[in-house]
Amino acid sequence: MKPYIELSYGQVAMAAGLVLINGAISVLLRLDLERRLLIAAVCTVVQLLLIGLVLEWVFRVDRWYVVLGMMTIMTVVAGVAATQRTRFRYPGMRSRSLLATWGSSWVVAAIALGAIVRVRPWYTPQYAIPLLGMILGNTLNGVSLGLDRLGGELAARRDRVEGLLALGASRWEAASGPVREAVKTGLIPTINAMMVVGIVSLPGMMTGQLLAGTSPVEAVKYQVVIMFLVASGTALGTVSVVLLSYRRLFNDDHQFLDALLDR
Amino acid sequence: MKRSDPFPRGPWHTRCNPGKHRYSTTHYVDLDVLKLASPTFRILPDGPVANPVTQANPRGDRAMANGHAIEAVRIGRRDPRPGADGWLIRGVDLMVNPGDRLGVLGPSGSGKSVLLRAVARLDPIDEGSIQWQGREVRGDGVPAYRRQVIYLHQRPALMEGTVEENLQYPFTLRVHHDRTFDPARVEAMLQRLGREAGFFTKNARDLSGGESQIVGLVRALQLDPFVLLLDEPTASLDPGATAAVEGLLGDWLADRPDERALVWVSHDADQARRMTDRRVFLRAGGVVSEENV
Repeated sequence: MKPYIELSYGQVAMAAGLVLINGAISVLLRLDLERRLLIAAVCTVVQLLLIGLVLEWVFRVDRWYVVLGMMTIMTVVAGVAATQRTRFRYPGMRSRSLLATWGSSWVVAAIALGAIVRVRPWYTPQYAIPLLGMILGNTLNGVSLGLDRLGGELAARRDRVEGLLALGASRWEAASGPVREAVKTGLIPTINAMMVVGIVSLPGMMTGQLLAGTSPVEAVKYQVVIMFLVASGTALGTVSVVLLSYRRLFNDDHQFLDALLDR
Repeated sequence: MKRSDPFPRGPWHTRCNPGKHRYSTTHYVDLDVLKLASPTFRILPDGPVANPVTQANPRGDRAMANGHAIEAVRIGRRDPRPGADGWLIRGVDLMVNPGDRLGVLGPSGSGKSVLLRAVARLDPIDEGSIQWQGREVRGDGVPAYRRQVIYLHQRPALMEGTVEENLQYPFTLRVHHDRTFDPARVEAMLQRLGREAGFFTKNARDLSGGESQIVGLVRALQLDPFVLLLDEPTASLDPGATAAVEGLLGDWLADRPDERALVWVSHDADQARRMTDRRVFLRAGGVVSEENV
């Protein structure tokens, strides 16, 4: 017998029916959200079913190239998504976001799979995909926040940055304030999460393991590992993207190419 | 990383060419040449434009032999905004020598600030070259160059903190590490510009536009640059303060005419007459005429 209760599609449909509560609230309070609610509900079901099918296939095939392909798609989606909601953009921002996300998450995932969890073979999808996914999800946030803050700081302090350059500051002396702020902004959510984890929030992965019948102490061990993987991945990703952007926006002649920053 | 200072302190001629004092003659040679320049106005056509000075005085070894302090030759800067097309300035020459009081005049949008910023190497140029004492200014030489050639923004950006902290700040930069803040000297300058002793402790946030200009000017002057590139330095000042600034800058130049030079962007023709002896007129991004007094 499995250590957890398997759900039938009927049970899932019952849960989905709970969306009627949201619908009723929307109708009663005239929130005008019914349409969006319906779309969101359909998205939830369809996207998750699809990824379920894809993962079933990946797990069944169990080949390194299939897993690697899956990991690549996840990484590209995350790298691009990180640039979607920043207030400022510059030419080449997307490729830098992709590079930073890719490099940082894969380095950390490699350490996790090869040295920490010691998965054999390394591409075992049961480990490789969820581990990378969790690292990516958080790295994406750090990269996005870092980019947004760097653009905002540089745009707001444009005159000061230039004033410093005019007085003989090197590009680093002129930009280090905004760069530091941007990195800090990218790191704060992870630090906050680390401080309250287990008290305010029970992380999704740990909850999942508990549901799947893992003993709490085992689940906690995994969660601790994940927290540190996520923290280091986010830090690496944020620092990389901020420094790559800095190099793009300040050239070797110590000039601030502020015209590249576009709202 | 170790970085040698390519611009050691000391009178220019002793560094450029020991034993020769050439600048007095250089200056007058240039003036003769400039008299040939056509004073007619010309809108910048497409393509590189020959500058009147360059036409009358084709650049060759002569300019190098004379060793202009700043030699900006046929510089052009495109509109850098993504998708934008066209030139902000093009084909502009600017020579600055010790003792120069050079005016840059022209209507709004004619490229005066663009020119000054390019000469300060604050913005990249797409055409031409800028040399300092016969050497191209690039890479890690740029901060060292900006120590000698300071561009003063029309609305200087001040840091958070007091006036004194703002004046001290440049000394934290690596390029000024060999020097220390001299409160007495700065106070004397501020006094001359009509600021009371309490001005030092004022918060930069509470300064008026004119007061900010004064802080910006003193902040630059205390660094002993060789060339000051002034972008309407008295735009926010009342007539009394304007006169004080003109007097201070005049004395600053007269103090070491063999080393120092002023380039002054102004809207005010009277001020240009008072403060400069050589003037460049810009229109639509090109030099249209020059004059000497």
